[in-house]
Amino acid sequence: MEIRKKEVLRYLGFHAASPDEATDALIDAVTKEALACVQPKSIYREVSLRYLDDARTEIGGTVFHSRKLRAHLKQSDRILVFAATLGISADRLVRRYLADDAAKAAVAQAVLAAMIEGYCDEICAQIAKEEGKNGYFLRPRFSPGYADLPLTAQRELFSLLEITKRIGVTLNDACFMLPTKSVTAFIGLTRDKGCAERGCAACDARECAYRSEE
Amino acid sequence: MGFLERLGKEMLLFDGAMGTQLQARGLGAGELPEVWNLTHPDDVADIQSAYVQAGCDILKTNTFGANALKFEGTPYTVEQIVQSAVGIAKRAAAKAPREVLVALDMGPTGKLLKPYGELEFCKAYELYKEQVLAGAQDADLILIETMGDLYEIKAAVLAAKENSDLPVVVTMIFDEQAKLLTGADIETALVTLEALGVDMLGFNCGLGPRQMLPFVQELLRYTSTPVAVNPNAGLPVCVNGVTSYNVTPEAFAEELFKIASCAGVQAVGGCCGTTPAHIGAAARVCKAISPVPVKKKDFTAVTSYGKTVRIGDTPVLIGERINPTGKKRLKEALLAGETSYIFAEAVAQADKGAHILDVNVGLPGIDEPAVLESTVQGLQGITDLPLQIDTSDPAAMERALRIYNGKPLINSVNGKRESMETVFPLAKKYGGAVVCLTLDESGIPASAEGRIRIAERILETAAKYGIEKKDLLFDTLAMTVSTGADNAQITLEALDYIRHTLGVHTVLGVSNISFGLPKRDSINAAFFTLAMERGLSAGIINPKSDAMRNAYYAFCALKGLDPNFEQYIGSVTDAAAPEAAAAPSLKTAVLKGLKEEAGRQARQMLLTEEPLAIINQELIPALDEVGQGFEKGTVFLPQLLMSADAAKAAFEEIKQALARTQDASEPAQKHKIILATVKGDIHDIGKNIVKVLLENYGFSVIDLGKDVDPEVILEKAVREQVRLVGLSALMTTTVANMERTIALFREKYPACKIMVGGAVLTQDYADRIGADFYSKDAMGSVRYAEKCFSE
Repeated sequence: MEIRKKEVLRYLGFHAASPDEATDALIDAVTKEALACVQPKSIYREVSLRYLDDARTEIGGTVFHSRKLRAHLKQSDRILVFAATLGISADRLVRRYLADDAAKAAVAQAVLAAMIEGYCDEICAQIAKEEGKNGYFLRPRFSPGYADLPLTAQRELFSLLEITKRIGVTLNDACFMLPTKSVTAFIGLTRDKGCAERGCAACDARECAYRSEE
Repeated sequence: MGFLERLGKEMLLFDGAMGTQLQARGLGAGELPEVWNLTHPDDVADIQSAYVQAGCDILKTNTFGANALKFEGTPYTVEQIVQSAVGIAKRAAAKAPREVLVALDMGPTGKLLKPYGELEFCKAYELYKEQVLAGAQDADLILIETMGDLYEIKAAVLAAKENSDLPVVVTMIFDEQAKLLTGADIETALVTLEALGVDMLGFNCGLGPRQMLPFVQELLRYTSTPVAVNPNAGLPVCVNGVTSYNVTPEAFAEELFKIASCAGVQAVGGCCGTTPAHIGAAARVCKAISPVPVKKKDFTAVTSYGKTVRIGDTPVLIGERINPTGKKRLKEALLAGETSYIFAEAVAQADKGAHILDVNVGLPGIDEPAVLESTVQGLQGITDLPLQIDTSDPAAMERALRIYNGKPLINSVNGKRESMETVFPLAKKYGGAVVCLTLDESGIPASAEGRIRIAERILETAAKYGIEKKDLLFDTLAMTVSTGADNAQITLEALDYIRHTLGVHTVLGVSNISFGLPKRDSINAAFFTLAMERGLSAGIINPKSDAMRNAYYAFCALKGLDPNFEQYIGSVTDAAAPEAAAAPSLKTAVLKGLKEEAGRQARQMLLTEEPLAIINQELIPALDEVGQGFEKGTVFLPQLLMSADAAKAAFEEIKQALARTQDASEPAQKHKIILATVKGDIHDIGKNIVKVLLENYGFSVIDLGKDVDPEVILEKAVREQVRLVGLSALMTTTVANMERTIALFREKYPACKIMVGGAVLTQDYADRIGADFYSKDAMGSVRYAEKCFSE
């Protein structure tokens, strides 16, 4: 699994600066340990897609209220619901480090965040390769909690996929996912290659401490 | 005939899928399949009748997800759903020309249990209990299936056994790497389930029969319990947005036949994607097989949530450090509820090679049952080592055994009648390997023969409780040699006999041998080697002692128990690492974030300097320098924390030294600060980082954890007269709860200052919700705390 060190450093607050030797070694050590313990799993499924108006999209028979999601999907005429997780062992690793090594815990948090993104990218690249044969391109992932799609949309998204049964991710009352290193998303499929705004550039949270400056 | 009478006499056939069959009849995505028991009872009945006609012996009730959590907010009660389901299955079964049994089916709760999720173990138990009470009366057995978490299985099994007399079958879902969702491997799952005393166990769902076969073969290498296997009709594939399973009935039956032919498999059936046609095909080939009994396996093992430790030919190390006897610093930590110290001890022992950790929290004035329970739970959150639950209080023992995730060591029972009558029923019910002390009503026999006689009596009594020899470890009691020159010999003779003649495993609290002698490590290590040579299976020792570790690794190397000397060489290079360059000063060690070096330097300095001088001249200046660097942007978070960890190691040395010198250790009055991650939020790493830093700067932090109710924070703040509270929240959705918490304080405890932090917060946002201070990073909270308490 590819873990982009640049992302890890961004999460750790190194914006443009390069890391010192000790930090660099710590990231490598934690990455090695994390790779050995995570249990990555993913699941996705194509569901029906119908645009109702600028603010409402019917996905898999459920109506989702979000202007940004509608705009984001653009010309997509098909849609996938997607979920991925590093499993409970990722949470366990952070907790074990916290018992006696705060630096490792903070680094693990960053490494695992980069790892789940890397894992999602890897799965999406596989899907893109398959769909490419049919002339389709993948839009970037769009998740509950992004922009004006409320976190509570997780409940509907969860019921569209057997997420808990198939990959063991659960939702708490506040709609957070447990294990925490998990991602759910809608992925539009479009025939239009277009150039997509992705990552931080697509998000309105300009004050976010982790915003990428690219 | 009931299930248990038929078990082993014929190949029992479970029915196939319910969920995918209902979907084929129009069940929508997200719709609860169990509701159909009430809204579409005829559809459910048709499916089950078809399975009966296909030739199944056991129908699973349509109650997989029938728990109160899933039915919250629906017009149905669990009782209604479960009773209707059992009724439908009973009627379908009654139509058969032969006897068809009904299994009350229970699946996962759908929530993750604590500490990684939010569901309390006892709450999971209650959910299952409700299902059992509703359905057990008319069912023939209870099937707990598609389980991915051993802890949740334990809750379900206890609920089944405590609230019904029905046989209990458990089948689990493993992934393609042969792991449960919570990380356990097949051996660990097997050992844990057998300890709980289930009647049958195995696999279902997740995989098709072809992928499952090697897993079944692995399970059969370990199990002494009959095995059930209910695979899917292959792996799920998604075609045009519909999940489907492609293995045909004939191919399914052919593969299932291979599984059913394995010695020890006594029931098969189907899961997702299987249909009456699959079960019919399976019946034609599998019903002809006469099941072969399971071979009883004879190995001793204990487990944690995800790991097995076998006690066999290679001795294992049981870390003795979490026991307050003679340890002032640990006493202090236990009385103050300072779990971080206990957790650090656990991690340190694990790093030094311990295989199992002893946990004893017995102290005068402590609520031992409560503290043991929470300590065991806390330790299981940070270590994957199995634990040895060490208490003489039966109430504490039971509570700890009940919530333990896995199969623990139980320390201990002895030859007294009362002890056996108390401990053996608990060991039988909850499962565990038991440490047996060779003493009785008349004390510790002075001869080896006396101790052996007690061991024999304990063995006999254990058998009456259904506890096998393999689950007992005998302790022949190391008595201090300074009071009797023969003491070591007597212990070793008894140990040798029990291990080699009685054929039972042994354990010793090794360090007891040297009480009252100088340089105890030398005696302990030599005795440890002697004991291992005579047949010691497990030594309760201090893994942080180099002498003990050297003795252990050298012994294993010499006895051919350490292939290629890997462990031995690993242990030697570990210890040889330092001494390379000139040792840095304590201040430099902290600046560079060298944890071990900082501890070592602090220890050195304490020989000649006053603790306060060390703090003021070395630690505080170093922390300040790093802190300022962080604020200026020349030092980054990992470096800041490495320095904090190094300073913490030095502070710990100072605390240890103070605990040794002060009698009734009167801790200096420190300024108290409460930290909490607000209600609804589970992201607590930022809060934990702030805690480490605040403690470094001498503040006493009361950490209330994550997802904390505003009322709980207020109550604690008022009771402890805390003047500063720090709140964290990571998500915009939970900042609302931060606001609520602040509002509550403003109303009820306005004198208390509140600082806030978290990724989504900004100064502007913090102002709007009425916080006194917005901390943009961890150092910010240190500076604000300093300012608050200097006013």
